Parts: sequence; C-alpha cells; structure tokens
Amino acid sequence: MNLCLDLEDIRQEHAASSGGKAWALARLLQSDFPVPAGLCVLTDAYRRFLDTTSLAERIRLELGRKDFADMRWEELWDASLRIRNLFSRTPFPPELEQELAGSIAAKVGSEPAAVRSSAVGEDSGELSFAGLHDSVLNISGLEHILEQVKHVWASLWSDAALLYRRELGLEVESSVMAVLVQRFVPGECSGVVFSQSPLDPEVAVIEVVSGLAKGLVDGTVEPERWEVDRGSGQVRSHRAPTEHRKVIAGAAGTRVVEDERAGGAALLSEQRVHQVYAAACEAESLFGCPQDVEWTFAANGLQILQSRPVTAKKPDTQERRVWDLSLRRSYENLRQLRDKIEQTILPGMQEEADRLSSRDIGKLDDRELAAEIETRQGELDKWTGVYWNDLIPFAHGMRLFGQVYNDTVRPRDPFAFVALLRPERLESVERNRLIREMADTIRQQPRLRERLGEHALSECGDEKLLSLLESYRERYGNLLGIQAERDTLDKYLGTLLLEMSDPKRPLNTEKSREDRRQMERDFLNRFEEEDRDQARELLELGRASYRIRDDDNIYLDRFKSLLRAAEQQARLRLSTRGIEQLERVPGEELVRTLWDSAYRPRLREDVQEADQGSNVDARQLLGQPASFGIASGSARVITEPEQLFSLQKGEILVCDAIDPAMTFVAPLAAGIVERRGGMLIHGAIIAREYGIPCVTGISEATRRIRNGDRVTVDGYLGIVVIDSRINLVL
Amino acid sequence: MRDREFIDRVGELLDSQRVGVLATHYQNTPHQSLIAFICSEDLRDIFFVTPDYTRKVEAMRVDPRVALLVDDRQNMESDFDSCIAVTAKGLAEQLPRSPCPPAFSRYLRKHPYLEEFVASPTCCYYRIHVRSYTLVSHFQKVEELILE
Repeated sequence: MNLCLDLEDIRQEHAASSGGKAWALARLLQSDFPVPAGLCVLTDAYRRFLDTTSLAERIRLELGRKDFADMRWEELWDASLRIRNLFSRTPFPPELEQELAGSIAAKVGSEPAAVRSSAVGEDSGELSFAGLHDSVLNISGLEHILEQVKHVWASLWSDAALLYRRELGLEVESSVMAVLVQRFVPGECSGVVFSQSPLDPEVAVIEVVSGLAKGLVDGTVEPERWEVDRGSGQVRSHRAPTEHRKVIAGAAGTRVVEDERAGGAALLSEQRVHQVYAAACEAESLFGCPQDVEWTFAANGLQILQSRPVTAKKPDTQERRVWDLSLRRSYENLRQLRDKIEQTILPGMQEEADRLSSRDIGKLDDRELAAEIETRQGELDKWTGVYWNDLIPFAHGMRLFGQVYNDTVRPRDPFAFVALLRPERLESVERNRLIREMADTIRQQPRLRERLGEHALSECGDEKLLSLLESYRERYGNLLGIQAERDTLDKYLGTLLLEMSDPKRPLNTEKSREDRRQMERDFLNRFEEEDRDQARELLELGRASYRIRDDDNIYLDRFKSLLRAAEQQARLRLSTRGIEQLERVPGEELVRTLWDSAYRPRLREDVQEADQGSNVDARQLLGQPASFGIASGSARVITEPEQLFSLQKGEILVCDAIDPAMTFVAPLAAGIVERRGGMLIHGAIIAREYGIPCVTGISEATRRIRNGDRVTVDGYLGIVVIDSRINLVL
Repeated sequence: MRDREFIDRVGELLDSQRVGVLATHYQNTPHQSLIAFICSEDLRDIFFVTPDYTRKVEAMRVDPRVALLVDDRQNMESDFDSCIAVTAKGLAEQLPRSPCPPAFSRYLRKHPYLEEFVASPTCCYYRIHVRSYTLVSHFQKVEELILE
C-alpha cells in the first residue's frame, strides 16, 4: 500500500485518500499550472499511525470523558490540547517513519518545506470548514517535517474542528487526514483571488499582502485589495491597506515584521493583477466553477498554492459557536488586545469604580438613590459587555502559548506550561494573604479568638485586626461580592477567620515557584537565536493573559459590590415602609418603589433545584483532572455564595464555578469539585496555586453530591467517588 | 484434555481478551468489576491496575480471595456452542509501585491507551496468585486445573 504519492501521480481514484487540497493541486499541476513540487501523505498513513500506536483508543477515552453536548468551548480546547500532546509524544513506529522519511526526502530533499492539511471533504458541506486544520511553513530537516506531519494530523481534532464535530461527522473510527508536504516558497507578495466574488458575480477580487499569504489567511496583516471586472478584465478598483506589516520566513517557522516598502506603492503591478486574474479564470474553467485560489509571487514567478470552489456558504446560525470561534485569536490580534486592556480598559474600570465608591449613598434622597442604582447597574452592564468582548478573548493568550510550549517541549503533563505563566503577583492570592494575615493575628491571641466567638468582628477591640479589616474593605470593596448587610458580612468574615485561625489544623498555602526560571530557560533554549525574542514575547503575552484572566473578575466584582451596596441601602429604607421579603425584590423593582411610595414591588421567583427525588445514586463521577493530588472529606455543596462561610477546614468544596471573589476559601478546602469545566478556569488555577486536588467539568456535581457525603477527589484521573449505601443493601 | 492442551487454550484466551470480570466480596456482599489484565506466560499470575479508592480494593484488603471470569462471547446464538469461558481463582496481592514491577511494562504493551491511568499515583498494582482455572466450553463442558 502506498502511503505517499507525488502530486504528479495523484489520480481520481486517490481523491478520497489525498484530501481535497492535494487532489485540487494535483489537477492544477497536471494541467501545467505552476505548483511547488510536493507529495501527499495519504490518509492510510494517518490510519496506520493510529492503529499501530493505540492512539485511536486514547482519543476515544479523551473525548469520552463527558457528553459532547455538555462540553464548553474551554473543555473542547483542553481536549484538543491533550490530543495534540498525545500525537506529539507518540513516536512514529519505525517502519512507518522509514517509509514516510524516504518519500519526503526524495521529494523535498534538504529544502525547507510547507506542511499543510488536506482534509477529506472539508469544503463539501453547506458550511465552510476552511481554517479548522493546521498548515505550517518553512520547516527544515526530515525530523522536523515528520513532527509537523503529526501536528497536522492532530489538527483533525482541533478545538474548532470539535465545535463542528457533528457537521464534519468527526469520529475516531472513520475520520482521517491527509497531509501535503511541498517545497516552501518564500513569496515576495502573496494573496488570494476569488475568480468570482461571492458578493458580486460581475467581479473578481484579489487580496494581496507583502510576504507570505499566512498573514492574510490568519488575519494578521491587512491586505491590499483589487477588483477586476469579469466582463472586460479591467481593474475596477484598488484599495491600499492602512498599515504595513508582513509575515516572513524566520530561522524556523514564520514571524511578523514591519514592511519597509516605500509608503503608498502598490504590491501588485497591473500586469501582475492580470496574471493572477488569468490564473484564477483558468482554474475556474479547469474545475468548472468559480475558484478561491491562494498564490504567491516568488523568485520564479507566480506559484499556485491552493484552489477550492467559491461557494455561497450559509452563515453559521449557532450564535454561541460563532462567539466561541471568535475566541481563537492570532498573536498579533492578542498583542493589540493586551495594549487596549492594560492601557484603556482596566484603568477605565478602576477609575469608574473609584468614582462610584466616592459617593456617599447614605446621604442621597430616595429618588437620587434610585438614580444611583440605575447608574451602577448601567456601569455593571457596560463593563460586563467589555468583559465578554475583550477580556475573555484575551484568555486565548494562555492557550496560544500553551500550544507552542507543548509543541516545543512535549511535556508529559500537557498543562505543565501553566506553572510558567504564573505571575509574581496574583490579585486573588494577594487578597487571600490579607485574609490570612487577619487569621494569623487572631491565632496568635487566644483571648482575641475567644472574644470573636462571642462578639462581632467590629467589636473585637484589637487595633491591628481592625486596621487590617479596614484596608481589606478599602482595597476589595464591600466583601467578597456577597449580598448581605454589613453586620451579616462581618459575621461571615468572623466565622471564616475563626475557622482559619484554628491552631490545631494547618491551612493550605500557595506553592513556591519551583524551577520556574530553569523551566523558562529550557523552553527558550529550544528556539534558534533569531526566533528566541518572538518566543519570549509569546511567553510574556501568555503571562499577561493569565494575570488579567484572574484580575479582570476582581475589577468586575467591584461594580457588583457597588450595585449591591446601593440596593442594600434601598432595602434598608424600604423595610421601614413595611415591605416584606425585600431580599427577593429585584433591582429594577427597588428603583420603582423608591420613586413611587405607593408602589408594591413584585418578588423574584425562587428557582427550584431540578432532579430531586431520584433513586439512582452516583458512586463515581468523571470530569477533568484539573489539579493533581487526592483528597477525601465531607462534601460541602455550595449553591449560594453565603454558604461559602459554612465551609470548614478539610471539607471538599462542591460548586458550580469558583470565581475569584470566592477564592478566599482555597486555604480551607481539602479538595474542589466544579461543575464548570476547563483547565484554565479560576477554580483550576487557584487549586493548582494552592496544591489542592481538583476535578472540574462534572455537570451533575451540585445535584448528585449531597452535603455531608463522604467524597474522594482524584485530581490525577479526574474521578470523584461518593461513598454510598449500596454495600448495606444485601 | 491433557494439561498442555488445557494450558494452551486458557493461555490463548487470556492473551486474546483485554478485559475480564473480577469478583470480590466485602461484608458478605458480592461485588464484580471489569478490569483490564495481563497474564504471565506460565499462567500463574494475573496482573491488573485499579484506583486505590475502589470497592474492589476495599474488599481485597479485607479478603484477598478473588475470581476472574474471562470469555470470548460475541453476543450471538453461536456463543452457546463456540464461546469459551475461563474462571481463574486465587489470592490478590497489592504490589509496591516502586520500582515498577516488570510485568507492568508488559501490561502497558497490551493496554497502551492506559498509560496515564497506570502512571497515576492514585492507582495501585495487583497480582492474582492463581490457584486454579476452570474452563467451560461447548455450552456445558467444564474442566478444571489446580496449579501446584
């Protein structure tokens, strides 16, 4: 069985095993189009790799952890990263390696190569699946080319491909991937041409960038755009880009640099525009339908890199998926986003929150207070929108770094890179330190501890403790984002501090940074000198992403606290009017009632917890191993923030999701079980920070685990075991 | 059936199958679990890996007597005649993890997809010292061999 075929030798009968891209290029080459020399690693090679290394079963196990429909994008990304790492770490069986190496060496020799996905049927459906799979450029040396072949295979299971799993029919048993290995062409300028615009059938569109087409395809570089009249063949319009950068070949791979061209000069001459357009028209007549052709101009003239049909694809109607896909950002996009977040968004949030907290709501009359509630709600809504549009997508910086780290280092633990991202200062850990300092103050003074058992925190009489409490309030807002009156909050904090200051039981502490610098050196030394700065910048971006991912919620929580404080003030006043169950009156009703003293507010309906009364007990639940370790203890199921204060040292915290406002409990919990999934979510990050065993992504966690259940959390395997009564039945 | 033939048939079945049903008991309650196993060439030992906190481990720590059922059924009518089933009975022993017993390298060759599972510090390694095999074939033909 042939595992590789030269482009010259691919025929119709090989279309299914060579994938769409290779089959189209073979037809172009055989019709005398200028196509870089290359071969196709057929799908049989992929299948053999999976079958002889047991990867198929490993992928099945990875994807089988949870019902696919219940997986969030973060979980899909995690699964995809794990699968990619499996491919990286699995060596080629010697015979397969020998056969592939022989064919590739014969075709590309010692020249740099482009290694590109050629998926089967990726453009045959109603949705376009272009861009789901990887292509890598400028790879030298057989060993590296073979490594990239594995990465392209792994991209069959990319996060984006998993999002379209149903449409793609993506199954371990039946899905395969072919790979193109061609001589790399270091183009002077490159682009795409639509022989017929999807928006206007009368024109063809050419988009061109300086350097490699990668800059255009991944959106890093803004293109120059030409429109050509399909009837006359004449140029209709030309639009120059507003900025000038380009993607070029680095020592290995590619990098983005400023384009030094004299400003304003067009990338393509009219003659070259016509040459590109003519090639697109010829491709259209060869394939019998309008074509989307990728091309480049190199030292040897025009080269065709890809051709596929232009089809009027239907837009994806699944809004959530479209949003999920928008989270995948290029390095350049993330770099710009970071500037925006650090220079504009976070200072803006800080400034606005400071402005709001300077208002003394106690001095406002009822109508002013109503207006203040609306203002605070408006600010919260505004910043929540910014959070979704800019801050959450920036979390992709961690992922981008993680993938590069894993491809380069190939660690056993695919999330080892998180240790390298941990910044010197994390806002939630800083806050915990302040709480801890209060607890230490109490622990050192048994009398104070005793007094706190009987009196409120504010009546403790200890100056140091009161001063710490005040600094805490100033820095972090009201308290932990929990809605209650100040006395109640003091009571909660007092309970927490008493638990934390118990001298008999030690607290969890955050882990020291072991070998962090060595880890960083090991990573950077794997790059050629010329590319090392880029790797360093990527690491820096990953660190910023990690830090902001944690801090952004703390900033947002200030707005929540400010709103709650104003609402609480309103409730306090309305209680004198004899209105009952004020805690169930929503904000907009409070506003209306403040305005109109005769108005009786509507109450919020309580949500009933589903799935009560089932006779089926859960014994073992499967999630994602998010922080290594094993712990057993009594379960504390948290469904309301206030319940956090009932957590006792050594208990297993079971909750929907830990947000940074809740991480003060980390020093107490022996283990954490979260419904929300993902390795880079706050719960997982804080658990790793404190070395607490943690399992995330158990959809039924808060429904199937009951308060007081004896629970074991296996943070290595992602298993949660619940002691049940079944042994007593017989 | 001579000893050699019996041993060969049992060995072939145990080599060809990936999982079997392990029977344990705890506080007079029976318990069964599917386990992935390997068998030593002389059939005297069967090895498997399990998380430390499972019911079967709890049971084996109290009473190491276990039975393992392995069969080649296809869930078809023809099973009644063509399926063979072997029950190994013996004593389970937990093995130290370090240094890794050589059998577990072989275990990973048979079950390479369990690499992460086997490496987890929360799993423990077990050996069953097999005392006897019972071989059932042709619907009701039952033969037994006690290992010396």
